[in-house]
Amino acid sequence: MNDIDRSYVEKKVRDWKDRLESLYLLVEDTLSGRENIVCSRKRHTTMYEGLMHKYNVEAEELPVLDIYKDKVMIATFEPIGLWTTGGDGRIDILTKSGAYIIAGTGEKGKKSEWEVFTPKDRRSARNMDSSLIMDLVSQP
Amino acid sequence: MNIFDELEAQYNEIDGRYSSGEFDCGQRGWHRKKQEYRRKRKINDQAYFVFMFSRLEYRIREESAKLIRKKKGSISSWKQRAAWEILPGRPDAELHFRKRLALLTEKGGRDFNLVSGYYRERNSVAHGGSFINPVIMPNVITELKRLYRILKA
Repeated sequence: MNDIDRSYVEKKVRDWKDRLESLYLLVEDTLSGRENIVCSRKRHTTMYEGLMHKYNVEAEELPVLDIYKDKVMIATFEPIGLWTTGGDGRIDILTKSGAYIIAGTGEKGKKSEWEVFTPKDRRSARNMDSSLIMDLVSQP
Repeated sequence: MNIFDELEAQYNEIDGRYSSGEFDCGQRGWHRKKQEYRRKRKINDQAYFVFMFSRLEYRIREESAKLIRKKKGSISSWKQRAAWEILPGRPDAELHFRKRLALLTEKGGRDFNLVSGYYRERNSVAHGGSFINPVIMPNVITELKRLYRILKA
């Protein structure tokens, strides 16, 4: 923790934006070609975490990913935080049946950089992959 | 069902209701109400985190006191026993929490750092603030259960 400085925080923020982008692309690619499904990045949330404030790093606007099925919103990906306790970043997927919690594993380059806890099973994590995304849009 | 399982089930039930409400309000464009649900979820995270951590905290106090008593009673050489003699043998006696923790797991090791991080979050909430960082409750609950099981005298 002693090596933290402004450039470290800036690098972490850039990396977080890249990771979010990769995640959103995975979702969009998986759902592309499905006529009744639309992904939208029109909304944003502000990222201004403790270390950004401490090291005078400017706030960032992060996209929120909304998924619509038959023109009805069915899920929303909302970035919650990069510096988290219990994982390397957290994103929530809000749905009618509750929140999926996406936790960064900090294991870049491995099979999945994310693990997902579903509303029905908060004990066993699933990989963030196309099967989970299809389950997400298939829920009644 | 042990206390952690019971608290976990209650926490998940409440978070499920609030997150469903948060989504519902977002869907309808009720932004203020959506923020209220978000805030309720944060407070729920903090409440259950502190509740569960308090169980681990007392376990660490009990087990460290047990270890101290065991050492005092089992070491015959006074020179080796002397360091233990100055430590209190009761869980409610004054001895800094991190010192108690260091009796049960290696100082600076993964588990020591993990509990220390949780302790910082606990103090931040218990002393009138909120979480320093958002907590990923499913992972933290799993770790709290594991630590409760393995941190022994």
